[in-house]
Amino acid sequence: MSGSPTASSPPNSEAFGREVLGPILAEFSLRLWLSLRFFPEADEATLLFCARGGLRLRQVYERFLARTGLPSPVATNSLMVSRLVAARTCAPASGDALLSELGREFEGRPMAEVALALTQRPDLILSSKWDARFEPQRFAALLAAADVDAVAVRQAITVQDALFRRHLQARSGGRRTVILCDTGLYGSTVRLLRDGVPDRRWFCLQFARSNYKGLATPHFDCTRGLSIESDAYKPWELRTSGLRFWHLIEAVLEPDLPSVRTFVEPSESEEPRSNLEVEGWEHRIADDARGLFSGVLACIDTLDETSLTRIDDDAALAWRRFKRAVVWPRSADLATLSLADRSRDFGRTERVTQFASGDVALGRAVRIRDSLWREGAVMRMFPRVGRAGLVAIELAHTSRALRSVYDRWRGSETGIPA
Amino acid sequence: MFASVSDTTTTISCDVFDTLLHRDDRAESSRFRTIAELASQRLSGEHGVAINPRLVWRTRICVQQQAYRAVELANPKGDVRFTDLVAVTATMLGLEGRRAAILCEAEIAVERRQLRPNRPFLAWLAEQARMGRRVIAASDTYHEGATIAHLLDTLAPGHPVATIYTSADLNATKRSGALFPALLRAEGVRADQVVHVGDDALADVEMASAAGLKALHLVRPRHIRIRRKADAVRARLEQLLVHRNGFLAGRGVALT
Repeated sequence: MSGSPTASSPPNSEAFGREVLGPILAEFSLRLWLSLRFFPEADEATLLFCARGGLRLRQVYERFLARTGLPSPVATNSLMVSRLVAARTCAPASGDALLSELGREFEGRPMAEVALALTQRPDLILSSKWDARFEPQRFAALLAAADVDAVAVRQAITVQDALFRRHLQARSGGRRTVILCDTGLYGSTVRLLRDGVPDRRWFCLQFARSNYKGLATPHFDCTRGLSIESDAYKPWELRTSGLRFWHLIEAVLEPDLPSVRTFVEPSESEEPRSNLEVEGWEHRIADDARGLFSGVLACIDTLDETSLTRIDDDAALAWRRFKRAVVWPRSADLATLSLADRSRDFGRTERVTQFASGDVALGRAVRIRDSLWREGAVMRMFPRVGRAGLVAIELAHTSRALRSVYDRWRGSETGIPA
Repeated sequence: MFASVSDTTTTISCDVFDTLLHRDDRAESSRFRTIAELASQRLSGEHGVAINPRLVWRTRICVQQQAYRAVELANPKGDVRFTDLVAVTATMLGLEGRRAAILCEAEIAVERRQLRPNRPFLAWLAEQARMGRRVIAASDTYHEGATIAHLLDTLAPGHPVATIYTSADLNATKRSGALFPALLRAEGVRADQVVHVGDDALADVEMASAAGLKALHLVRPRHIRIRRKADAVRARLEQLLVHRNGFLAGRGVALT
């Protein structure tokens, strides 16, 4: 692959995409193809790439197949879905999957905000009961109540959910086995969909799978991380460095399109259309002002059928280079890997920034802690002595990872879970 | 030397690898390397196709890892099939037709070379067969029954095994417990009429017992198991070093 990383590569985004992220995503594509090639009863399954990150993964994967001449083992399509849309499928029953997801997203927020996110109906005026802070059981009781507010909220959710189910039916071609393909990490979407649409067999092949918050993982039996599968960064496992700056992977793969929130029904005979599918949306998937994703596609375009056996080695080198840029960044890396603000999603409009800023009184340590890329924040705030800070961070991670290995070993020795 | 079986036992079921046929002290990864070397030699000698054996080795391992991950995800009780493994490995190496078949033949040839019949056990089985008991084999393997039959016929001619059940054929493994009910159905016998013998504590003892069969544990000597583990560690380290250096000797496939 001409996109193979080299030590003398120019430090710009397109080159980083071509030489580092490209080989990593080529490896992901090969692993995805192998997973599907060996998937039992693949002819009864559909591979659905989840909006938004999945839309770019689909572009990479389909271009990979075209370049290498490998045939697609399963029917493939895109699914307009988000955690919000998936949450609606379980909303009437308010099971564990839904309540834990809402609890994580809306901790300390009023339940009216949760209702607004789920319904996307700002015109619904709810009583003061909904102004209380979110508590899972209380929310479940409010949602199940017989009063006018609850009926209106449920009705709004049901209308949207019905449209999504029609969309799912159309995209899956009616097949009972659905294999989702998404970026990762925890896999909330598949967890929610498995609860909300139990008449299908659900699987999810993600770029990364990580239970980074130590939550319950009942859906991990049907979820795999093809490129990264670890609950934490382990300094001795190169590819887990992806977890040190996960937002980079997400930012590269998420096109500049809105998160899916609502569907409309053009007519009874037509498939429901999501708010993501704005005019020209398909062309916007590959639009890439920063150059990282263009670099990825440029790398994939260098592949051919003789490249398959080299992909593993190219990816191994690329992961080394990725780790160096993310865990031990230099000033050029800060420029290359600077990201635009990102939305919080789940039906809300607030945005998060790569490097925490604002209140100086918070102190630099807090701002580093709250940044999406802590190593980058260290080097940005302390350009001259930041390397010492990076060593301290790496030592802290090494110590934590070793302790976790030791605890697991002790757990397996004693039979007591760590 | 083997346990006596009760009068009610009508069928003796036995594991194949490391029970009927003994593997040597090489780990699977080392075996794949020998297979890769043989395949490369034949491809070069018979077809003028030069492929680095390390490339064949790495590709075979990569394909198998991903295949088992896929099956474990979607059907944890099922198994991978050898024909699929070889077909995908050949695709990745750019081999078709007779050239692809060499990968398959090399694998069987190395299996034949590295396996030894467990003669005392085979003699005991023959005695059981003479006493009127039916002897069958049950193996967790990606090979189909016909391949196992070929290996047995070649390495232990006159063996008493009447039928071979493999997890690849039945899409049901012993280690998940799914193979035994399928085996009992196919044989038309009750679980308490069958004695199962094997070396794997989970697949051959725990799961067979859970299915109601009487299970006998036949363990390989400790020194073999230790040497095999050491060989697996050595092969893994070698694999990591090759990866870490980021190159393969003669990187890339040179097709001539």
